[in-house]
Amino acid sequence: MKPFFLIIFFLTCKGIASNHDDIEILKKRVSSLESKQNSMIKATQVQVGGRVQLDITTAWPEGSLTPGGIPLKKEGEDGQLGANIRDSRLWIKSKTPSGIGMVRTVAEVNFYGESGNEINKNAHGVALRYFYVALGDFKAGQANSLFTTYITPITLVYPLNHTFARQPLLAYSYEYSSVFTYDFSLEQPESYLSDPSGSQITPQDDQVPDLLARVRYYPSWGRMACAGIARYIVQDRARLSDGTQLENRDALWGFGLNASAKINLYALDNLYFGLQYGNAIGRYFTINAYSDGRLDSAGKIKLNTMLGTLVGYQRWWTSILHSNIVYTRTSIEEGNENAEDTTDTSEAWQINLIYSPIKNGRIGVEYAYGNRELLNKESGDMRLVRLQIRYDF
Amino acid sequence: MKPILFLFFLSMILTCSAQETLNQNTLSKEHKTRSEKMQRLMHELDNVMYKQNRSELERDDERRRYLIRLSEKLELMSDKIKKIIQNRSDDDQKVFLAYTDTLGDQGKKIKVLANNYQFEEVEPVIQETLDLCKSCHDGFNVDNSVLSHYK
Repeated sequence: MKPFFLIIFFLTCKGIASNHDDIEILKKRVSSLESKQNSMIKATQVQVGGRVQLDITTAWPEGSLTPGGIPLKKEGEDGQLGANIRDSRLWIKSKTPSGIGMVRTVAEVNFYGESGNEINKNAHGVALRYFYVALGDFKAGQANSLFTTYITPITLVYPLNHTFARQPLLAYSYEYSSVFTYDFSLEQPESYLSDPSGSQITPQDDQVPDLLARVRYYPSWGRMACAGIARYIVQDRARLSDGTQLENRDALWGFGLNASAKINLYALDNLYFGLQYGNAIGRYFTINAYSDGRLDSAGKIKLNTMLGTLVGYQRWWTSILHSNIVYTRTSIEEGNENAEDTTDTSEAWQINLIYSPIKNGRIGVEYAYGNRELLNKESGDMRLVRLQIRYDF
Repeated sequence: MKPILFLFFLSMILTCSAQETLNQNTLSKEHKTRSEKMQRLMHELDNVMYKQNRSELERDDERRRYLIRLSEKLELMSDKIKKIIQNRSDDDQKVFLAYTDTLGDQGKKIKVLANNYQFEEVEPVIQETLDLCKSCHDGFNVDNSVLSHYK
């Protein structure tokens, strides 16, 4: 029996030794994989992406769904069909770990540059949207203004109270907790005024950056954002649209507020609210329908006060099929007596159905009705249908 | 023992066990509610690309925020649901606790990846977490319908 036990003992020892060797080999492999992974994380990673978007639109009468673009009575022709890919986008972004946080950059373009002809080429020019670097909580470059509406329902045509600016800025974000974030920024200023003849001018005399602060709140029942802006609107011997040069300097501080919220309802449904108000929100508000203020014949500035509201309901029929119904209204609360053809009030209804049959892809159709009335009581309305096919890559 | 005392002890035992059942039901309901909240969170995460007025970096910040919220919910859930299993056998409890601990670890893993903006690596971890939930639900004969919405 003894030789048999010796054989068993020998084989067991060999087995242990061989297991020990295997463990050592595995340890070496794990550490080599770890070091490979670490070196990968330390390297800069670059990613390219974008979206292909085809918009097909027809309107009665032709115009655009903006407070300044809704046609007045007897203007425009009915049922003209247009198709374009100009809101398609391309972006490139990078991330590089550093000792003081992740360094991230992005550059993004769309095709709203110089318009190409529709006869045969449709060669629309590239236009810059974003180009900035984010280092930890700091951001520098051309990015979305903090005054850009943060929470919006999904619409295929921008809502009437669309409030945005993309411009050079310096921003800092402070994540107070997982539910509160505060943002601060200094942004490129640009006074945008109506001269005594009603034409809009940019005096290019700005001295103080637009000052912005925003709070974002992410409770379990939805989300909210509220941005405040302070602007120093100035003209210094500005040149008017008729070539006349003013002989004085005038400046005023103006303020504004942009609040938006989403409330979670049953299942995946949501309720949206938006409110914009202030006497210095002109150039941020409704895609150039309003100026920041107006100049009298003596070169004195008076600021225009504006109000925008939005209410929207988002209904998810299934997890891949949903609808939005959105009502928006804009009005000028004070001013602009220089231009009687300025829109006094405008309102719109939008309803859509959006289907996402594949990940990153969707097809949607939207019906919109909008109307507006000018300060001189002239009015007009339009209807619009848009089909949109979009794929993000 | 006097009948009155017997009835008193019996009623005490029944009350305690009813309370225990009530607690179990409350915990199960809470687990379901948390699952539904996570379902909404995952759905919103899937639709970040459609948020208007966002640059790609802002979308990444949104993704990071959603994932951190998700990881916190997973960690919280892994703690809370440990009590659901209290009236099962020791073996069942051991298996269940292993599941809940792994769930908490998955949450921690997601948080690390989100903070490093490594979103491409999050998807497999989320799939692993879903597989873990399904396996646990199957093992303990729990309705899987809530999980079917995570696709």
